[in-house]
Amino acid sequence: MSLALDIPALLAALLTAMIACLMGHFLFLRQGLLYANAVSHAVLPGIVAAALVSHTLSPLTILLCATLAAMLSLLLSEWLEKHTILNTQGAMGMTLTSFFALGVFLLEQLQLSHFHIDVEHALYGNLEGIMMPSLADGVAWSDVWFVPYEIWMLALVLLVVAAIVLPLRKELMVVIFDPIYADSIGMSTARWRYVLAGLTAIAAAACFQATGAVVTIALFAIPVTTAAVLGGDAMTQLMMALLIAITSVLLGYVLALYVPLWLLTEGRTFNGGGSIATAAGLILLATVCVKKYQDRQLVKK
Amino acid sequence: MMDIPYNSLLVALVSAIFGGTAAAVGLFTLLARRSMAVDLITHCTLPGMAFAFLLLYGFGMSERSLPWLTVGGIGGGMVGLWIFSFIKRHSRLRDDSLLSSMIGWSFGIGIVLLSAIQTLPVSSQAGLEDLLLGSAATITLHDGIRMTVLASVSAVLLWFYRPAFTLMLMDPVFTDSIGWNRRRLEFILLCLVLAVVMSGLTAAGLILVLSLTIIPPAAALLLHRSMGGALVTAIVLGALSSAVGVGISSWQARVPAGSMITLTALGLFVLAFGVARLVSWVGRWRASSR
Repeated sequence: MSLALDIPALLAALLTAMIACLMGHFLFLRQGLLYANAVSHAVLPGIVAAALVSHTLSPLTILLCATLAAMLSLLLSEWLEKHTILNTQGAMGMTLTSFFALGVFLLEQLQLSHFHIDVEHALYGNLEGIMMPSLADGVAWSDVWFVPYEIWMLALVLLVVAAIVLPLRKELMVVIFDPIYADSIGMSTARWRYVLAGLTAIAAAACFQATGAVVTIALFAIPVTTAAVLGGDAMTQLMMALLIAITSVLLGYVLALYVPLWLLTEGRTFNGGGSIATAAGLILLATVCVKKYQDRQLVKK
Repeated sequence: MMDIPYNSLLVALVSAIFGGTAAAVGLFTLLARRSMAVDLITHCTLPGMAFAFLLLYGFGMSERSLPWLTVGGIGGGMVGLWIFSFIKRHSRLRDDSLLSSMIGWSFGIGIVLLSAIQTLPVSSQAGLEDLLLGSAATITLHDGIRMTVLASVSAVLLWFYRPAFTLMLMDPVFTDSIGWNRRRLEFILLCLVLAVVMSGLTAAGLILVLSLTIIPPAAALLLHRSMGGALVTAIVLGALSSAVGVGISSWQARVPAGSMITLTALGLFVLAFGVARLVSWVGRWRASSR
């Protein structure tokens, strides 16, 4: 694998990192990071349904169906929490497993192998599959559309998410941190919660479709958690989370490409998505250890 | 009973033992608000088993040696729990963010190790993929013995600790006041979860094992107000969904056992919800007509 071949995959991972960080930041503040975990499993039946409906797997149809499935899962878990004895974690776990089981069941029943989606791909991610068509296929460099559709989709979703979330940051903060005040000045808390849920659904659907479940879950949760360990105000944390996410993507890339070179045989690579998640987790662990060391030094003084 | 082979019957029986135990343990984790910790444990067993596989390969032993893979999975779960409590102790992170981080991380490590295993020149690697979604076809006699032993051990331990767990859930202040260590009790509960998860991995698969610890207990809690009644119903529902799911999967090759178990449990939950609603309507009607 050469660098030129990997640029699209790397770009897709970086875009995923940015989307996941933006949404993960607000989910973290809402204490709802587990929703990202649930939603990333729940988009699977949506993707299978899209394959059933469209027969051609147009990216937009998949994104739409996946987002719908994600929204449905959020609504279902809210409903379960309200109308049964289940608590938040139980309701989330139930929706997650039910949606995922349905997706796996449909996938195996329909034998959609010619659509290039199978369960392993969906879970592990298909980062390595995002490639530029080679020049030999008759693609001219001047043609913009030679860029894989995953990158266009991720860029579009990033644009939409950023354009909604960043200008409305103040309103979201008020709703998250002081819902009673928000209600008292006439802001509809419920509507803002749905805005957040909808954006989470779109973001998770796009990330899952392009890079798989592992990268999505890991990049939603780990960078913002690491930033929270470091502390600071919300904006600082968001910036740090972005930095950490980008670092873990690059580190994961190095891990996937170069570690197998001196561990295993020549020409083998680790799974890209898994490596990014591993790198992000290692950064979290290292941050906690360093922070602990610093605190101990402070106590000694 | 004419053409159900002896083997499927045995597999269904073993799965029922596993499903009942999983549901029983799940009732306690659900009420302790620890369902996602169960998810963390199941995700942590993957890197553990993959690491054990690599070690076995490194030492030139048979890679599909189930006891050692089980030990690896249990080790992975323990390490995951230990890292979780380490980070929790040394930071002010809330459970939800830390849990979702750890879930993503452990699964990522597992997949990296799996991709490393795929580069090895051994033929037995295909079996590890089955562990993700579960399949009835992979349940061999050894598997059945392992499932029964692990499930029975955790069932006996659960029976032994049942009063303590119930007290911990229902009256934490009193539990503290009589000097019982709640953190240790929770740790024991999660260890029981780990044993149950390892027992049913080949049947339910490591992602969907979670469903057996949530859906049957939730259905049971819809029908009962008492802990004992809920426990019995949860065990029955869990055993039923596990046996039916694995049974269908061994009969229809293209149905993964894990998803069939989950969907059966979901159907039973919907049924329980309907029954609970009906009972409450009838009760209200009788009260108003009196």
